[in-house]
Amino acid sequence: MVGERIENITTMETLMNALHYLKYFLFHGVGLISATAILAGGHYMSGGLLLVLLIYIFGDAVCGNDTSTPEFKHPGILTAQLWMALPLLALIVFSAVWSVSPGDPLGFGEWVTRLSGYDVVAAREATSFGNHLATLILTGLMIGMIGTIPAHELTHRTWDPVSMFIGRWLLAFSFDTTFSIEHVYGHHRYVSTEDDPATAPRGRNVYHHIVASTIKGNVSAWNIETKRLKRKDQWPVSWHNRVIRGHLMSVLLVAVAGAIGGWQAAAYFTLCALCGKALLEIVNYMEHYGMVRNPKTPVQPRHSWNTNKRISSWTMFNLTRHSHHHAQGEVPYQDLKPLPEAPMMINGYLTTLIVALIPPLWHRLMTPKVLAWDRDYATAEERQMAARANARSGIPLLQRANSGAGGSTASLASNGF
Amino acid sequence: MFSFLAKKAPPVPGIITAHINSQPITVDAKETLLQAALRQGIDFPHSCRVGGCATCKCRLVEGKVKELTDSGYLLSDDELDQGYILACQSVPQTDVRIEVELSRQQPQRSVTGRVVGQDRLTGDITRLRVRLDEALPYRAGQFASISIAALPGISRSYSFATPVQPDSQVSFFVRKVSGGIFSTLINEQGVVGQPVQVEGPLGDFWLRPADAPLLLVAGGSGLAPLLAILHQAVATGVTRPATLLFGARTESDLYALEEIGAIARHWQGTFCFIPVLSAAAADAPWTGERGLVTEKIPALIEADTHTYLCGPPAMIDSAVALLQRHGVPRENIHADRFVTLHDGLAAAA
Repeated sequence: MVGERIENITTMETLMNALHYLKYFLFHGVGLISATAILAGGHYMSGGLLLVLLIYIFGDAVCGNDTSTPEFKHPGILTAQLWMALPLLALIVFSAVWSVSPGDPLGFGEWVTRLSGYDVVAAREATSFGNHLATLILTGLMIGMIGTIPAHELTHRTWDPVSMFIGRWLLAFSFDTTFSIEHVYGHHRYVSTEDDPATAPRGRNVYHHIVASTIKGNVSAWNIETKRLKRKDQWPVSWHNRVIRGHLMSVLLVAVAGAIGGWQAAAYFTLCALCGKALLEIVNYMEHYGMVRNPKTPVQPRHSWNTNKRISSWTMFNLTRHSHHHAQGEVPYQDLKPLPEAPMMINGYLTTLIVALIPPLWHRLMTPKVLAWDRDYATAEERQMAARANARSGIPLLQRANSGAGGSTASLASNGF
Repeated sequence: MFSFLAKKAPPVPGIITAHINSQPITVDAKETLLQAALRQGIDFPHSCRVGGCATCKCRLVEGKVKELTDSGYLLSDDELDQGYILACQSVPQTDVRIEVELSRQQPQRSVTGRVVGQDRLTGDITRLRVRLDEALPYRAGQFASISIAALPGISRSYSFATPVQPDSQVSFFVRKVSGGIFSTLINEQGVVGQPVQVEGPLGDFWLRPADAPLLLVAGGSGLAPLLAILHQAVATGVTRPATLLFGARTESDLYALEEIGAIARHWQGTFCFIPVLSAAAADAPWTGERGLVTEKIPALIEADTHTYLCGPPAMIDSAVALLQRHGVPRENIHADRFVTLHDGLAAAA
């Protein structure tokens, strides 16, 4: 009897373990849905975009939090899942480029039609401008989610050349290979300080941040790379420069899109890539908005906005567990802890992203969160930095908080610490 | 002199030793120098942990490391010539010697934080959870001196109940001592949100590396440092056979049973948990061990057993005497006496 029960438990455990690997395949599922929707053409394109948005927004609203940190005995499977992002993204982007190309490049449409029995070429011909626009947004979204998110995880693995290679190619789809330099050696060093291009100061709106962070991030990556080359006695403008090499990878992708479908395909891909890059900067904006830190003190979980929403976590390789990621950048995603007591983002990633796109709504929801951060998380020193940030924010509610802050600092001091 | 002739066999993976300013620490397979140092309570200077800031730069005096990333651009020519490396990006391949300017000469320091949780564990034990403003490295098993804003000028010593956490959260098990002003406050009033100050780490109670079987004996809130030690041992893949004896008065005084269950499941070797009740009513439905926890020790030890004891002084004293009578050498007996202020006064009187 007892032996039987133990056996049942073991079967259950094996099943649960398998599910933990399977849940991260939700990521690939979302990618395949998108590729299918794009190829199906017409209203399927808008429908696909809507479906993806619904999966995230509705899913995060009803599925609650995932705070488990299971042990994975075969991390190799997880790494393979990350690597699979590259062929998947290539398929999605190729489908998008094909959908705006004249004729049937590579006979792809005919091949898919023969395989599926569904005439994708005819569907494409009947596609309206609005549906093409939806595909542009969907592809941009996928470049961010299927491209940048696994690339982020992979380019942290600076010791693994295969992961670095795949990660940088994934980033090339959003013209952002410099991310592999600036994020690890810049952002992780300066996060939540004024020196970090990706940390948005209080009061900034997301559209300003997209442009400012893109420019400053590229400059920072260039500076880090030239410093590295100088140390190796190599010329800054040369083949050794990973910034130049990386941007050439993106140029090559644009050229391939051009070769497939002419100038309009190249222009269309460029727009998709810029959408993907903008998406990353919006995510940066959400992850660290308004936080302050003395650059001389180590990063703590309180210096990132965290979320444990289930669907976002499963489909984004725990990017959501951002507080632990910044406190210990060397930890692989599956071992990140949920830290439920860290400062929490508004909601799951896509929901928060849409809020960020509406600045009045963003400030309405985030100002109280930022003030609560000052009160519940900030150290005495950080509270002083926060007061300066509030004064500069241009947000009346934050500026008014300063006039009351003197009192609370005094009361803390009277506590003896 | 001819040391280069005495070529040693390659070291067995997993038992690499690093000397940090002459203090030896063990480095696990694939672990970086920084991870190993922090895990073992060395306040190694660091910040970004991904090779971007050079706060953890240190000098490699002897031995070989594998560098995970190109760190050269962060260090000056001079530093490179002198053998400087980044601890967060260096995985030792052999035994190494490292020189580093530790940020503070005293390994002990004071960190502020605030209370984020008070969980009742039993009728008279509360788990106090504190989020520290910055990391405080310590070894699992050590303790700290804590003071709270509500009781200015008063501080008490408690053991860390977990290994170092990534969110700099620390936990202490506070048992209510009759007449104890600090323990009564923690057990009877809400203190969540209060500023606290934690000074440490203190004490030399931690798991010594060895292969010998382990016997851990806890009395009451003395379970705290042993839980920390066991969690740390699970995380580092310790395979030694282990027995945990946990003494309490009645069944309702047992706690953390789920946590112990999880440790038992993940322990890579045999793990045995034996709760012992000293004051269970004769008609209580308890089918486990009864009596004093120390009475159970003789049946569980062998000559080479390493023992770790934590609990009230009377328990420790009788356990130590008993172990020595049974031939366990003093150096294999590690004990942490939970002395209350009252005990201290009584001893002084």
